Amino acid sequence: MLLSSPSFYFSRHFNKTLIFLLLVYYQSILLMAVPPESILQFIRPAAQGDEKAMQQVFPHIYSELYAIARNIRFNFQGIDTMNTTAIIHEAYLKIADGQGGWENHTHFFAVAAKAMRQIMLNAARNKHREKRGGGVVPERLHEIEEKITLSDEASDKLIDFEDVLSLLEEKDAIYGRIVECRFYSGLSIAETAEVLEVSPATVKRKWQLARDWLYTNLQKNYTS
Amino acid sequence: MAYSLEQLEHIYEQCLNMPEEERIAFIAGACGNDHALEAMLLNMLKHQQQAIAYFDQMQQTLARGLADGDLQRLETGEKVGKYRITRFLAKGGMSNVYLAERNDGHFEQQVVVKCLPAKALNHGDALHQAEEHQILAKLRHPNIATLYDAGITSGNVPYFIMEFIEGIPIDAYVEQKNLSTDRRLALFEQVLQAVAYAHSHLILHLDLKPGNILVNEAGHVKLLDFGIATAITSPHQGQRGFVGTPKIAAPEQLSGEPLTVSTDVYQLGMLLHKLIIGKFPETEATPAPDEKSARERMQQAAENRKIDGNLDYELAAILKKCLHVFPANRYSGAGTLLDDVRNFRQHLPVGALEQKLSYRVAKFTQRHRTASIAFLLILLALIAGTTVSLWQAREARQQRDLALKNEQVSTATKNFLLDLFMAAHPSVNKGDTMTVFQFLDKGYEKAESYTGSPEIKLEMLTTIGKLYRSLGDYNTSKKVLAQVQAMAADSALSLSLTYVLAIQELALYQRDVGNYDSASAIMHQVMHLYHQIDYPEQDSVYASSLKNHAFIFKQLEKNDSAVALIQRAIVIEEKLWPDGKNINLAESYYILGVIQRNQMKYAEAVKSVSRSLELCENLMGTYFPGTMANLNLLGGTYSQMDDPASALVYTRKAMNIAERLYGENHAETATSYNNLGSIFFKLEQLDSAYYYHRKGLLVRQHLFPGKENINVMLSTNNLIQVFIKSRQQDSVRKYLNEAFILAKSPKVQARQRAATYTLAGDFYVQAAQADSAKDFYNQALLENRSYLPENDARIVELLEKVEKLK
Repeated sequence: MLLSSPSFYFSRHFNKTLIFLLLVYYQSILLMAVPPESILQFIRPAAQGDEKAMQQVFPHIYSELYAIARNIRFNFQGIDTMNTTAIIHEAYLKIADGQGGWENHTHFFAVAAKAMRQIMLNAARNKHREKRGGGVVPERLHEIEEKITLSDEASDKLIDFEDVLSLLEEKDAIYGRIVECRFYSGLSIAETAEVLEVSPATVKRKWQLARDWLYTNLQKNYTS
Repeated sequence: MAYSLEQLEHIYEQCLNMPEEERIAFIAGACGNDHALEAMLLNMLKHQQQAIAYFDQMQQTLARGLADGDLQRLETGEKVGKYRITRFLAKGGMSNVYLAERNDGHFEQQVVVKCLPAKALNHGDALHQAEEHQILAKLRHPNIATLYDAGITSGNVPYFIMEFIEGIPIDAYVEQKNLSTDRRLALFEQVLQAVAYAHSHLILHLDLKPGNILVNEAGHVKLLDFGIATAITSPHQGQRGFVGTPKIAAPEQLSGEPLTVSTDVYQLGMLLHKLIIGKFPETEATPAPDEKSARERMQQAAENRKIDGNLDYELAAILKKCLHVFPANRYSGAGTLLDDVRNFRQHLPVGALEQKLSYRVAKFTQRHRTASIAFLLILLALIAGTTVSLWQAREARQQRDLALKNEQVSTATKNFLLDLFMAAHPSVNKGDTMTVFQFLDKGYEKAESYTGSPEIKLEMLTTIGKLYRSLGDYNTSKKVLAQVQAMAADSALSLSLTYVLAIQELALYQRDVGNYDSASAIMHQVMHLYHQIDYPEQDSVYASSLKNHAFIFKQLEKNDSAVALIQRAIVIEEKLWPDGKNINLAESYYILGVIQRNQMKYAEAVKSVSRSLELCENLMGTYFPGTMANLNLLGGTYSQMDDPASALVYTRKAMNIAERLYGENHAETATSYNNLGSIFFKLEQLDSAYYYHRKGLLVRQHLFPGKENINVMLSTNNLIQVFIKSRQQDSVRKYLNEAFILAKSPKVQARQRAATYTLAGDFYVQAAQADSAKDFYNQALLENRSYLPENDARIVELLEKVEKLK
């Protein structure tokens, strides 16, 4: 004799496995990993110059960016861009995701830009060291996997870029920060102004100068 | 810096505020004798445009630099394996390609050497890689460019050595030669043959872009780069990397999910589209993707590809089946696709023409990022019940401002959501019920504390109640439904489908715990409510309610009413799904079979059930509750037709499925045990009969601790029967007593009571206590007469028994 109603047999949800899967699936979405609240609260102060705050958030963001940059080769080939802005964007989504409507994204981008700059520069320097060291030492496969490698061309260009930028930065640190925000992070003039707590007019002026000055000096590098 | 920054800044700012013509002069003036400063400023001014361009370029350089960080260049003359590089051919997305010659001078053979970045190799030991090369080397097919060798140079550069092919890409070829559709399809068939061959050797291609498919003058097709994508995909860190061409990538390639032959099928679809129509499918416009990462945008693009409208409908169907978002819904391989293409060319029917799934619904699951648990619960409801339509979900969505399109979505679409998950997780075993309940409990909490729209709250609670019920937790279900009832009673709630279904849920609960009268009364109310809200009858939700009611009638032994309702439902459903491809139809035939069996119309019952079984097996396969239920029913019916041999076969099958699906401690499995027991009893194998009946009883007692349940009664009766036959009087007495206690419960029906009394009578006959026997037989008669006609076999039989006693 029948136990329960036919819908028990024919409404397919009665597969417990299925329900479990559905619920786990949704559960995993709902319980998406977010960084501990404490880190997120430091982002704004970090972006605005608080050293201690920066120490808290920097490693976290750095490692996230690093992971993304390292995997680029295996992810998207020949497409629009997986440039630094895109990488930072991805990291932002990963870290801030699930928080929805998080207001600090500008500040996040500012901090991330700093990290990104460092990552790229390190990669470029590693490349130079490699070349000067003469030949490629066969490393263990997993070590090769772990590093970010930059092509020769990009390394050369970046090192020159940073050398020239540092000249400007020495004289006024804000130039470094503006280049980070605008170039590495893709923040707008207004957003950069917000983070750096200066007027947009100031940002615009300094950015223009930085850009023109950097370019001119880089050209001189190549021609001289 | 020879000059001061402040000065530089100051002058530059001022200069830019001046009209263009005046700038140079101004600079000269402002700088005075500082020539360095002046030179710098002038330069800066002159190169403003270039400066902007430079920065853009710099980003690209960095991006490229990251991508092919360690892609080495090989020199002409450099030796690679047995070959020597003759010249550089091209740079691919991730590789450099060179022409090379055989180095040992033995014969002239031109090959192509393809180099990859050092990290591109699958990591694993050398042995594994050697194995891979074995596989690749086995791929010898006229339409596949042979892979000769692979290895690593002394400079740690991984390379592949392949046959050198002269030809042009297939898309260029078909345009140049201006081929007819049929000729293009013929070329495509060559491609399919190559891919099918490779699949039979378990090699995927994964990058079937036109550039990888060359055609020579004679029209002979060769596929390049076979297996390379597989060989170099890195599986590390969970998310598998993507290698290939994003433009033709299948959705699962971009989301990092498992790749299969269906992935190649997808790309073949892209290729076919390009060949026939001249371009790749366009991406449907998507909402502003500001918040999304590059990957997400690309994924979205991949999932939104639209097939060009101006196409022969059969070709369109073939394309749709190739390009389906979900791998499980595409052709199962290049072979089946080849069949359909051939069919099309030969004007035979094309298999792809069953459009089961609305691809727009795929977006449902993509919205999960912004879904609140409320929405998820509703989604679960959609999936959870055949009685819930997306109509109400639409209302809820509107109310909560979700960005879902307001479309006509059918029940079939909802069923698809189910398919979606089943397809996505085909290999998971029985789930952990604890986790399910935990999650459900959480959902319950949330639903209870929800303070938004009461209608949505009602829906959530209804869903949760239903889910508890479906998982067998009747107590909690009851609790939840009490709240539903309270809410429904609150006149502030407007009449809507949500409301009707909430009421129906109450009925279903009563049905499941065996209060059929109550259930019937509530269902009556439900049908009335449908009319009140002017709900269309030609609708699957309405049909479901008819079925529910039919079943309840059946439980109340009102078989004629039951049949009438179920046949109405069948009429509606046959019209809704003329091709019969819907599980609801299977359910209806099943119910019809159940009722017919009750009416002892066995031949008809077998017919109905067989139809249902066929539908179930076709739609859902063996390990599906519906299939199992049908098998059980067939078994039971054959048993009553006195064909225990057939009955045993079917019932055993059903039991196996039940154990697989539900485990031993489940109502369903208990039913199977019970049925098996009955059949063994008929076969007079009393030991087996006892074994299974007892097993069934234990499970049922465990599930219904109060023991006041029809099925507990049934099992008890069955055991009694076995004991009587085997003359174990003590056991008979023991279980009879239990049965008498159960008989007092209002939940037990006349049928079971009659059975008990009959058995008791039989027992006392055996024990030579004629008077007691007569008493019991008379009681049985009383019960049977309460619902059966006088000429019913059971009554006749009883009367004969009474006669014998005299």
